[in-house]
Amino acid sequence: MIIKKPQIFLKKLSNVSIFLNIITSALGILYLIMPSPSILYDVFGVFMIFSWSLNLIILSIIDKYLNKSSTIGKKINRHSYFFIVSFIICLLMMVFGIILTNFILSGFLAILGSLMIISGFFLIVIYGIYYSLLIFTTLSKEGWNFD
Amino acid sequence: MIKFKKMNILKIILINICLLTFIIGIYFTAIVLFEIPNSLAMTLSYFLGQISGFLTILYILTTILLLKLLSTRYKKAWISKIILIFGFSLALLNSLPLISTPFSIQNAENEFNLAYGSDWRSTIPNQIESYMSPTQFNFYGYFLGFPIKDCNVDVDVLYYDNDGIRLYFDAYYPKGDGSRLPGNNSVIIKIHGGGWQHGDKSLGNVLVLNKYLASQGYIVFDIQYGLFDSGISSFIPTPDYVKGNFTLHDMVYQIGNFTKLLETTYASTYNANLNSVFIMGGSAGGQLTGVIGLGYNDPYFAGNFSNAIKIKGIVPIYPPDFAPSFLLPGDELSNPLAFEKFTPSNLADASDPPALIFQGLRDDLVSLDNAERIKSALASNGINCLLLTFPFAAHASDLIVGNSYSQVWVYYLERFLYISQFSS
Repeated sequence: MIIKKPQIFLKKLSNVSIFLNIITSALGILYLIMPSPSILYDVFGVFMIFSWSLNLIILSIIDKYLNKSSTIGKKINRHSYFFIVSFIICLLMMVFGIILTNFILSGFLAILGSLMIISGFFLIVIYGIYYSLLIFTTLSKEGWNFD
Repeated sequence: MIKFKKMNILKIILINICLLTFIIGIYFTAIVLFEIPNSLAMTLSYFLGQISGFLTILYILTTILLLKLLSTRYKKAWISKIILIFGFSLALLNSLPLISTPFSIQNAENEFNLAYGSDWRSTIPNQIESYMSPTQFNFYGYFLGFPIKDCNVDVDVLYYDNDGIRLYFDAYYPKGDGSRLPGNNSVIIKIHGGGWQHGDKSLGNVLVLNKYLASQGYIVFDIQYGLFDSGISSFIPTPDYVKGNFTLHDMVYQIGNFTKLLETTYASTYNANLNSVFIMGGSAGGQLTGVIGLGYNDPYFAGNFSNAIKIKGIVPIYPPDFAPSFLLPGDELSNPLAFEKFTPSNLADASDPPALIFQGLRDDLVSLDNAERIKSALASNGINCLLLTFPFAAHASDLIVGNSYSQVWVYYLERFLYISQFSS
């Protein structure tokens, strides 16, 4: 079997994306448990931006190599749509959560705000891990068009 | 066949949502970048700059989604190119407030170096600095929110019941011994904004910051004062019981009254350090901060404030440097002294405390020249006035504490408060 260059590129990209998304979610848990001032979070914040950027890069280039007439191609294409739409919804949840938690410090709305931030953030990274894993594990199968 | 039709309808809906997002995006981007003189744009401008990082990613995602949706319908490359350029231009323009953060930091560094010398950080012991933000900005704080600190809070303490109004304050104070913390039980009197006609303590006065400062050992008094009842409605929550036909004289009198009660009652209740008091406020509260903080020793206000408190610094946030004519009897010709004395820069003298000013460079309500006049008046009297400016920041850009302006602001604010405690 001939390994083509875009295939290697996508493999590396999805590999790094899985790694960065896992680190981001782990550090997110740490930040939410212990939000004390630490220079570590400044470094970790960069990881988060890189993992989100990588998710966006994969989403924007994947169409070029996807064979949408195959079963795997269809599946990944469907998940691409789901991931983009959930990414958008999660971002909106995080924005409204941050606004709520800045103005209301106790009661139902404050809890709701915190939940919106936490669930929005983790849904992005978890879906990012799943999506990259899906690409990584199917790259050697049919469903791709690297010509 | 039915499934195919459903998919098609869903795709058409998504395409329309994407196009709508772009149209709204153009309007939002214009608000972030330019002054648009209508009330909706003005209100939106308070928030958009503060969440522009989220909007940047949102526009990138919308671009990717639209390209994906259209690639199955339109094969023409030029359509894709236009969408790509348009979407990424929107994203880039919206990222400007975030990208400008290093410029805000550099400006703040210059101000601190000028005021305290290039080794100003060495004046803060390591043990004290460990309580403070380690760096000026981080992405976790931006996207996951600024950590909300724990402290004691007493809400709605009545301090004034006169002239047909009742005024309350909320007190935020540290759990445990504040003398070991950076604040050392110093007092911060926080005065809310709202154009002297609207606004309230708590919700309208950056309560996340109140909690943060209290956790650092400051006793924060978030106070109400009598507002001018203009009859104009506003989206800013305002309790009816503080409204009346109050002038600037009344407002300063009521706050002065609070300083007297602070001396006689609240200092002992909250173990407050009266030798280290700061006045802080935004917008209209910034103007009152300037008047009170700089007019404290002025004979015009003799007897208005407690003599037992020592003001160590003032923090006017986007402060108007003028007295609005509807808040004083007469006009500048018939009543020049009042107009002079209620303009902060006119009150500057050599005995004044240092000042730290927050000023957005996209503030349509209170422009930069107001802050510059206060800075220049203090500088001409040999008093440090550190003016922190924030590109693309509109009025009230400090409300969401984790945003790119606020993180930088909090970093330098906590250091200013600590250093100023030891000024003469």
